[in-house]
Amino acid sequence: MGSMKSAAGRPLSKVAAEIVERTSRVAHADSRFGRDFSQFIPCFDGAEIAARNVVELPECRAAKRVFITPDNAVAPVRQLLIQGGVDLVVPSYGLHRGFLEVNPVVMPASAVPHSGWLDSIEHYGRSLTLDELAAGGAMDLVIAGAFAVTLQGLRFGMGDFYLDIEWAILRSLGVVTDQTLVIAVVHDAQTTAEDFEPLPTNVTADLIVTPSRTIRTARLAGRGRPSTLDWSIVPPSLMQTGTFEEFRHRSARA
Amino acid sequence: MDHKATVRSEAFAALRNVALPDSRFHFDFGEFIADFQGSAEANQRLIDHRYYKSAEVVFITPDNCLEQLRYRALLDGKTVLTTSYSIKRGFWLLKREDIPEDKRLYASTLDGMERVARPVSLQDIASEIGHVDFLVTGTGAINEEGVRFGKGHGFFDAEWGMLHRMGVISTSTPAAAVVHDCQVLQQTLYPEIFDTVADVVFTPTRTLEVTAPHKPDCGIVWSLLDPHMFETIPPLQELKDLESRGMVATH
Repeated sequence: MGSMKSAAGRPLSKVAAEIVERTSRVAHADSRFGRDFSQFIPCFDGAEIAARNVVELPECRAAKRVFITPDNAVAPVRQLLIQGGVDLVVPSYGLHRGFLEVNPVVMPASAVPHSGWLDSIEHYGRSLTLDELAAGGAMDLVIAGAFAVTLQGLRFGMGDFYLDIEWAILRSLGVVTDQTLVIAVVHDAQTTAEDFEPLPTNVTADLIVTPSRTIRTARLAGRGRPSTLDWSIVPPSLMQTGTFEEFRHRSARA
Repeated sequence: MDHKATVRSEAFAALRNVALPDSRFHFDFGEFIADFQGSAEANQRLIDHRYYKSAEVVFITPDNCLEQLRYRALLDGKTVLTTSYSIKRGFWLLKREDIPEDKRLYASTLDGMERVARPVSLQDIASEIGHVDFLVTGTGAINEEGVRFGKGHGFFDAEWGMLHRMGVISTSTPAAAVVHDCQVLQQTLYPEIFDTVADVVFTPTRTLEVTAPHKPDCGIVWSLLDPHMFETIPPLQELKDLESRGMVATH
């Protein structure tokens, strides 16, 4: 993807480097990885404001069950959703342990105000098999952080393929459809006006929410999203994990 | 692989059966010290021990198996000194009066700690806290004589060395290790000059008291320190600066 050029002819790698530079000024360290931004999507200055913007969206107010990534950028969103009593499905970091469900109703009341971060989700989340994930019902929304996003909703850069994989799994479990709203939450510094052509595996965002604005992307209408998993985007290290074994079995049954 | 690394990898194979994963590192034991089944019992043994009971200020490493202990110590009104993961963002101070009740559990996690606690320099530790009464660490593997096999980075030894050089601990300050039984090995190990040997080892089923454990008084042996640690650990840089300006006693 690094050799791709934008519609205006600018190389993706150059645009990404500019975004790294801008983002590092507003990005927060991770409790484990520090400022090694090649390992995680950071939380940022104003992430609480962006989170507030997300939960005040009409589409979000009605949500009962939300799929949300483990990115630090959306920890404040997870926090507000948990406080709002919304059920969350969160992939484990790196998808090592598949998917976790966070059900605010069964969480100790004292934990609710500070439960959006991964260490808390590790405590209060419950590991889900794919059968259980499917049985839990449809996702009203998908919310993700991103290294960077174009104004057309293409998420790109570090870790972008995880959501693509997760989407394909959710889609084949029948808990998202082509119409399910995908929201990307980023700092303004992570957006770019350059336009890159998405790959067939990319899950583009319908809405981009930053601390200062909410952008409804032009690509929303008509563009299909992947409906099956392209196994070539799955890292080899994940192929033998329980989640992907179960997924293979399910696919073979279907 | 050297001898220490070999026995450590054997212990890790056993640990995999009882360990709890880290929120980032999964089961990659080279990157973190895991929590384990039975850690509540091991920590309870520590809480019942005279070292803990008589301590006002406790240094507790950011190891996952000590998360409950950090929480419990806050509830018990102890002053808790800890570090960020890998000491990359230095030492942090957790005091019950500074942390609202509903944030104490959060404060005991690595994700919450840096959002709730206060960062402190070595000079702050010496001037504001003055003394640390008890130190607690997790570890990859340890023998019955309290010698740790470590995970190859020597963070706890660096912490001991820095606190000792700042004069807030002495060679009579007790240190404890909290581990699963499978992490206690029979191998004989000869401590290095900078190895901080535990006075007591707590497991879910045992309390192992160690007679006359070696406690370093050498501070940081700069010539033996991994340069990467110096580059990434701000308090080590602070200490070197203080030493070069003659602001801490060296011998």
